[in-house]
Amino acid sequence: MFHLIYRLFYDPDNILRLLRLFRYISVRSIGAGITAFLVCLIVGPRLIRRLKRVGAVDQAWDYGVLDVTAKRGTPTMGGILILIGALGSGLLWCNVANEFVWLCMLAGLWFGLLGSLDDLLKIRRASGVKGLSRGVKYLAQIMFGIAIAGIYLIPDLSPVSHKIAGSLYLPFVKFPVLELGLAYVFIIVIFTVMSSNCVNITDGMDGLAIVPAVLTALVLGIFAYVLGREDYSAYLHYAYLPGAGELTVLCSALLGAGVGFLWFNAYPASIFMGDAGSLALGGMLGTMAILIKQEVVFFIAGGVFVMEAASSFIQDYIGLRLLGRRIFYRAPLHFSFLHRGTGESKIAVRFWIIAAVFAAGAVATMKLR
Amino acid sequence: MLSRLRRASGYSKAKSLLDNPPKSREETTKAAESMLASRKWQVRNVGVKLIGKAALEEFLPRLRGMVTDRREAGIIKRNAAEVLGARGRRDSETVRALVAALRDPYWEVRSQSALALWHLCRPEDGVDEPLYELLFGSKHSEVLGRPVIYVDEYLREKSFEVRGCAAQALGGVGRGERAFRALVALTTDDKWLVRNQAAVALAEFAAREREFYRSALGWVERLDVVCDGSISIFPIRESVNHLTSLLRSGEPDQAQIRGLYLQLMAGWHRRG
Repeated sequence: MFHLIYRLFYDPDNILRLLRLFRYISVRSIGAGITAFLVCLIVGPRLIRRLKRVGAVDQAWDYGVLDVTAKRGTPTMGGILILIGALGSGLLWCNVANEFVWLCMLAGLWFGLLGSLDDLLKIRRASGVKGLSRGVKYLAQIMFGIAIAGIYLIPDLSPVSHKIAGSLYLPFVKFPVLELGLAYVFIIVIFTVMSSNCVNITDGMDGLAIVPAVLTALVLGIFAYVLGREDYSAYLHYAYLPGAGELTVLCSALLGAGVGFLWFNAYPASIFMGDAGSLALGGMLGTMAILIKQEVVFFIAGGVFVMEAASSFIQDYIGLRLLGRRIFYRAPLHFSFLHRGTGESKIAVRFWIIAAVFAAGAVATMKLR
Repeated sequence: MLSRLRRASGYSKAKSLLDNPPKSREETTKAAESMLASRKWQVRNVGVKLIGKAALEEFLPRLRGMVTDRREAGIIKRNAAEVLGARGRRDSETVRALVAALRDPYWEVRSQSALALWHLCRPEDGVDEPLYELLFGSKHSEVLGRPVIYVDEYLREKSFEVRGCAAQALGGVGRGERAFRALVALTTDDKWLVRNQAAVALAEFAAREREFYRSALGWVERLDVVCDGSISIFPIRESVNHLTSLLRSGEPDQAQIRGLYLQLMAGWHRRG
């Protein structure tokens, strides 16, 4: 909205020349972050009360590890708070006519809706396992992946040039390693499903998922800024993506909303993000990574998500289903540490540290090419 | 019934039979028989659970075989050991099978077997030797004969869960100076969960073997209670507080002491 105001009313000859500030991505990013944070702080307590009143509380189920009864009754669907903060601030500060921005917002809404539906079913059926079936969730994720792939790879709809859209870029390599063309659809679909589910798996402790998500948003925001500038991208040998810089503003809004949510979600949590938050965060971040051609960087920056998802996969599919034994004490990984006697808040902080290291590593790939 | 059994060939069907077992014992027995004969280990596993749930004692010899069968899936051996501990009899075959399972390569089988021995056995059964071997290796006699035992130097068992369960078992079946020394060594373990179990076991042991009572109280009082498993207070501090007051009373109740064990297999926040 502020960008629109600048475009409509900017006049270099009078006081309205100050509106030029809204032209700069840096200024709007700072504004978006602060706005999203404040929105969360203001809306948060009201939303928590409202969720409690309507009975939207956690339907804990026995993992065999946690004393889940202690957390039963904590309001869930806190993802709504993140989405209100991030999308609300995004609408205020981003150039909403930018295709990169609205595609990411669409991802947030789609995955937020999917997660909310899952949470609502669990609440209605008073069971932590009776939400949407796995098949329905995968189907919705795949549908979105196909839609994004369609928009991205059809030249008239794509926000990037056709040549860049179908190319596979890897970290540490200056040039595209493969020209995949339409085969890129599969990569986008698989990546969309993986990114949203990774965050979903990680969301198992107070503050555990939100900090790595915030750090991943920060990394993607930095990449979007660089790729959206002709001079920086040329200097670092990246493909220039005109308009991608606008994603920095949205990433900043997401970062602010994430920190605002952490205010309430820090141990002991007053609210959980639920699937409404974890799927939406994963979906939005995944879509951003696809749009700026940094899918692998997403997995480096979100290394914690990868660790968690990998441990869960190894335990469930290789250990319990194939070998008939556990590989880890418990899975995902944070439950293994909990089982070994480490306190929840300590595990969360340690995972934050690991996430920060991964994020720094991801930023380092920018120069190591 | 036959149609139900046929349906039970698949895992999901078997699982539904476990959740809603047949009303008659005869039908349950047939269902369990059918499941144990399955080629799918997942179905056999449900069969083991059904045996435990329905207390089908006629299958206990089969479970004894399963728990020591090296080719059997680890989860099945673990569950078989659990059922033997809960439903088994204190006979030589069962004890022998559980002792043999202490050498299993899968840690959950070792922990569950140690717990099963704690449930089933008494000190006079003489099952403490295999527990020393489990903890300190074949040279356990030499290790436990030393004046000071640095547990980190001599421990053979790498899994904290097994060490904790073995400590618990020693609390129930340990005898004399060697059991005392082994438990004292375990109270210095790096993992607070093991220290906690060892302290409770030490109290259970001392309540039975009164000559070690004062020394045990001293070790429990000196226990390193700093741990990284804080909830609202350190759980180990809670244990020590309870233990100290119980031991100071002079006549601690065995059941109260046993109630202080943490259920390592089910989650360390849960007490026995």
